Amino acid sequence: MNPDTARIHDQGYRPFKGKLGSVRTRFWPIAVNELRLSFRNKWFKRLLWASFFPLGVFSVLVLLRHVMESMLGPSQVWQNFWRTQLLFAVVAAYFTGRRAVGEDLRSGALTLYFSRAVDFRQYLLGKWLAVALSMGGVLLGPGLLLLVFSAAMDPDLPLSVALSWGAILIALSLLFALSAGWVVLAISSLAGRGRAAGIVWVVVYFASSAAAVALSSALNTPDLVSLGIGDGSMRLANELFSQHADLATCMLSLAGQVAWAILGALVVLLRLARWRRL
Amino acid sequence: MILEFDVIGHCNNLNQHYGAFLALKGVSLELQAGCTGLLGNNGAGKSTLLKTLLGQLPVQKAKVELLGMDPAVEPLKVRQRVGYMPEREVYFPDMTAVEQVAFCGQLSGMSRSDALSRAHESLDAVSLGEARYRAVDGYSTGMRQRVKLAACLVHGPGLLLLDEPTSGLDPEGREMMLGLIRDLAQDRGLSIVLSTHILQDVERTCDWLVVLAEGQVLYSGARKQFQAASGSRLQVKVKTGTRTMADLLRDAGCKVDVRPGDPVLDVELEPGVERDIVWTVAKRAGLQVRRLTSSEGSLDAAYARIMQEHGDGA
Repeated sequence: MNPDTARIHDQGYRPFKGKLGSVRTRFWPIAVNELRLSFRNKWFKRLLWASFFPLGVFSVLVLLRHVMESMLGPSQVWQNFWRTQLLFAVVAAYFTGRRAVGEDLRSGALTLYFSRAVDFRQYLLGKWLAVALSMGGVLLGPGLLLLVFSAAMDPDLPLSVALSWGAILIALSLLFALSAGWVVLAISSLAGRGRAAGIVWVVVYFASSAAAVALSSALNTPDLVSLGIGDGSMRLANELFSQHADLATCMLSLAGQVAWAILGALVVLLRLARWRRL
Repeated sequence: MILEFDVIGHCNNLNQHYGAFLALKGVSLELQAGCTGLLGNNGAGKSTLLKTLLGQLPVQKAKVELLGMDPAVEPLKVRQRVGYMPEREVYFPDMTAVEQVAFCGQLSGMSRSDALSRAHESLDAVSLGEARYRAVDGYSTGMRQRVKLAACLVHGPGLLLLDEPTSGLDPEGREMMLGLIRDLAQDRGLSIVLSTHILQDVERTCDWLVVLAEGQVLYSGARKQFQAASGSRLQVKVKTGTRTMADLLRDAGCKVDVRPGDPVLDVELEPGVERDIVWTVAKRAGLQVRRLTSSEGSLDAAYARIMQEHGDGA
């Protein structure tokens, strides 16, 4: 085209002619955005990689099962594996949960969310899902790989047992994501600054275990240890992965986990009371 | 999206409470397509009205409609078709401008790829260049205002609700923002509700006007009509007898300013009084008019008058 006759294109505003999606799935971009922001942190990426290291150690234990069976049976492998992965999940929640609600309150981003076609439930679901996915990633990812490895290395392992271990892993991950996820969101909504919220979360996680231990000693009721956020999940894992699960301990651990989830959710709802109607 | 309505929204007998405080008192108005100025002092109820139109506040015993929808019943559908620019400095932390605007698009239901390309278009429209790749946390007020406007435009709304868009801007930034608003309303066919307490912003951009004071609508209609109702101003110069002419015009019911040593009289005509009064008075007194120029009534004068009337009434 002759440059003398080339048209000047208007770079001003043009109307959007595409389609807008359903208002029921707005939680998804919120969750993905939170995860995307967390992935910018190199320590979060390193944590995700590091969460697969125990897989190597426990894979070796699975290989040596015949030699070590008297010391470490399959149940103990899974129980110890879960105990180890929980620590990674706590740190994963530190990265994704610390900035979730508090930073939105501080920067006024809630006004931006709720001036869009986003309602309160979609917002909370998106925030929780981001934390849950990050924790689920470090719990379920290596866990399912270890399960596949165990099944591959042990042709005698019944399919029903392998499937039950998989189901237990998924259930435990979901339960821990519920309890820890809501607690970390609650702390984030109260703390305001992301880093402070993250530190408080780690403190609360370990303090809840210490408090549960102290309570169980004071009342001379060992089962009350299950009321700690982490201990509850660990005791539940111990019971479910063992050959003979104690129903009462399972129920108490489950109740503890659900109670933490409800407490966390209530704090978030109270903190965001003025936005709740939206 | 170009709206096909003449009247884009209305509310009838709308009340809004914050606890015991009545923020809107029986507000009834119609919003016309085009640019409407929502004018009022701080605390007049402008932001409350905008939040109600967005469906962020409950509506009791009142009829509110925007773009053919009831915001209290279908708030998400209303927000999908409306772009809202809040007054406060709000942003998504740790995000660049382009990410911010694209995320707003996604929250409005756009796919990731659509949202990203539209974010660039919207930022082009508000003339934000390379700075769009920097985190918004470090932006100046003017740049943040432009990002907010781009975020407001990204999903292609038919109606923009702008809450104090020139607040905190320097003269150059304000000029640019008003230019953008004028361009969107006049050349791109978008309907805009511009909430502000700055009269000049309304005078330069809006065809329609709603005046609020203490939660009540004092005026709702065409801006020019509002200004004309305050009367118009004339500059009159007579060959001799300036003082006599001033007295005669005062007797005829006009307000006249006489500046010492200045032969030009500044005359404010009451509503309904025609400029011919000058010729009539001059002929009767035998005075020779050398110059007669007129100007439209100013928004300042009209606003001052209506506020004074409201104050007297209260």
